Amino acid sequence: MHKYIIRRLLLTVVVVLGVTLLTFLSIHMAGDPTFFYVSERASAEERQAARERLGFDRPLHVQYFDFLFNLARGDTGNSLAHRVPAFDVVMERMPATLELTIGGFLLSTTVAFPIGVLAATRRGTMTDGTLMLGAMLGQSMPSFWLGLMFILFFAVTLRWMPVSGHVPFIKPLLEGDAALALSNLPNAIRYLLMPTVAVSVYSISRNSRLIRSAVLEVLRQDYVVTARAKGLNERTVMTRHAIRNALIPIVTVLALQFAFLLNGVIVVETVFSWPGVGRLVFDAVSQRDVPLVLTAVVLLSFLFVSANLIADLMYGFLDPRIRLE
Amino acid sequence: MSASQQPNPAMPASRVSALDRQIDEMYTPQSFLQRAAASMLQARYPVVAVVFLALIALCAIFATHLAPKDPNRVEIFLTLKPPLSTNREGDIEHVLGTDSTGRDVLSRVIYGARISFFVGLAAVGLGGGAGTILGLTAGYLGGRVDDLIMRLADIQLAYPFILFAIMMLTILGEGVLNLILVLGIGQWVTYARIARAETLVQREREYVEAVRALGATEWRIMFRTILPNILTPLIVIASFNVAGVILSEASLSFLGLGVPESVPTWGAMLANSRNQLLSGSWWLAVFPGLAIMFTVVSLNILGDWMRDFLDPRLRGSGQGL
Repeated sequence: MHKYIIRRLLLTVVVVLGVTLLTFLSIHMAGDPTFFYVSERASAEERQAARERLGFDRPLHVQYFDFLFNLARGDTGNSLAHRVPAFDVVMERMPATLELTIGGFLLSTTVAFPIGVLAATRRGTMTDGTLMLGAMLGQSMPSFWLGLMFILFFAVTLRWMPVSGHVPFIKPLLEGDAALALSNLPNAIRYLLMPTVAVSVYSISRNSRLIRSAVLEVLRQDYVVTARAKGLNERTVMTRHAIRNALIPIVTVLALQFAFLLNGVIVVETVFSWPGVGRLVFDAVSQRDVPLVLTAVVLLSFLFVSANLIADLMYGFLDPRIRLE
Repeated sequence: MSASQQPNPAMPASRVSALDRQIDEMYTPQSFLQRAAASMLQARYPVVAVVFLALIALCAIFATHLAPKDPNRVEIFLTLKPPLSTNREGDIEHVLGTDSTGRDVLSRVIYGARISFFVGLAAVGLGGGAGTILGLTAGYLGGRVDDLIMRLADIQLAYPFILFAIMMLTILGEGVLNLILVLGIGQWVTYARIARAETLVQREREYVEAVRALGATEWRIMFRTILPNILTPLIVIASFNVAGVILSEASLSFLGLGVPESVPTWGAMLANSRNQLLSGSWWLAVFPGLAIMFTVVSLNILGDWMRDFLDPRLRGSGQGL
């Protein structure tokens, strides 16, 4: 088991390195980034001076290894556009993105679970049909459109909700100001509600369908028949025998959905003018802010890979028959 | 099933005749298409989905004939007209209203089907084709080639797709071909993983052994012998994948990446609608979104049916949806 974890961690490093190399190469393939940081009428000398100042005059491999060595020391270099450490710029925005992602994760898990189990236990009934039709529709709506519809309906027409805006919760928490975080909480939730629901409807639908089929699969197993045959009531059969075993495939899917959520979050941030990493990366790429793009990509892909690793480890933990080697 | 096939004296006559019919059907040779049509009619929803998709496809192909107006014609005196509003003569000129520059929403929705359909199919064709070949090669050859291809796949999986797409499209610039390329690259890993896993199984089978004993080249074994036997799950995935790609394309168009402003797309229409929401111009946001939703839901229903029909093993495996 320990060997497996170590090997997976090594693989994680390889993968994140690959991601940085890919990002680095593609951003340089687009042409000399210096042009974004000098005036259009700059002379050749001025351009050369800027190129040297920004470090773009060095050979590519030197620039890349320089970035890696500095990264290993925890130094990501200054963002070219913001002129402060790139890490700080990303971390300034990260809490808002995490609020949306974690909120979406919690919502999609807690809502999908009862829907999936209910649909499975009522298989073939009207309840099942309605829930699954809803899930099918939910899976077919772009999250950003749902966001627009929420704004139109709940903010513009009914005026129940704010159109856009953000009240920080995780950020004061990370800064150690728990009192501020707590007093912010009610408003933070108010602003979080529409974007979170918009982000998670796809996951809720997908997960409830998967949970339904996982539970149905388990209900077919001999041990469930045995449990029923020995006279256990349906509730005990479901909670002690069926759902527990259905959890194995479900947990994997839940951890893997992190990727889907993050993709949705980046687009939905635009709809609600949410001050997260999504917009930041978008602007950084258009401005060829190399250090900032690299830092954001490293941090986000690290989040990604960690979520997948946790999913794999949970898999082995929930089902001891699965030996991770 | 086995219990119901036992002769049962208590079974009502109607059920016996139903059973008879079922047995008759089982022994009547039918073509693949006949069986597909019968299964589709029985499931009902897929029929509706096919009809709707056919309509959208017609819109895409004959947009120039079907659209009532030029989708890019700006009419500055007719901006933000609600749907079904009448002109001075009492005629309805714009069924679905006009946008902030007076362009006809219905015409733009019809034209928007073109990009969604074309990009969806082309990107899945590109990504599916490349992924299948790479997965097949990795699975069949094994060793270093396998390691290289699968590590590439791991790296791509760790890369949030939307970030990758934003980066590539900013760098490559706008254009339908770039959009197809980026969306295609986003899909190959799924196909490669499945093709590889299936190849690993098929490679050890006797029929492959037999073909090899006959002196077939490696190339022939891979593409003529193994490939046809691993296609079914890949086709099932592809049908869901078109839906996924259409959603991604809409997201990218919404972010202003992808095709030039002059080409109407559903995603870009939604992006433009955002600024008009506060003034209550609901039709700008509702109709393109409904077009996306109905197209994608139809593709998903069709995918569901195709999976059950072609490869019931995949049911509940989390593949596709």
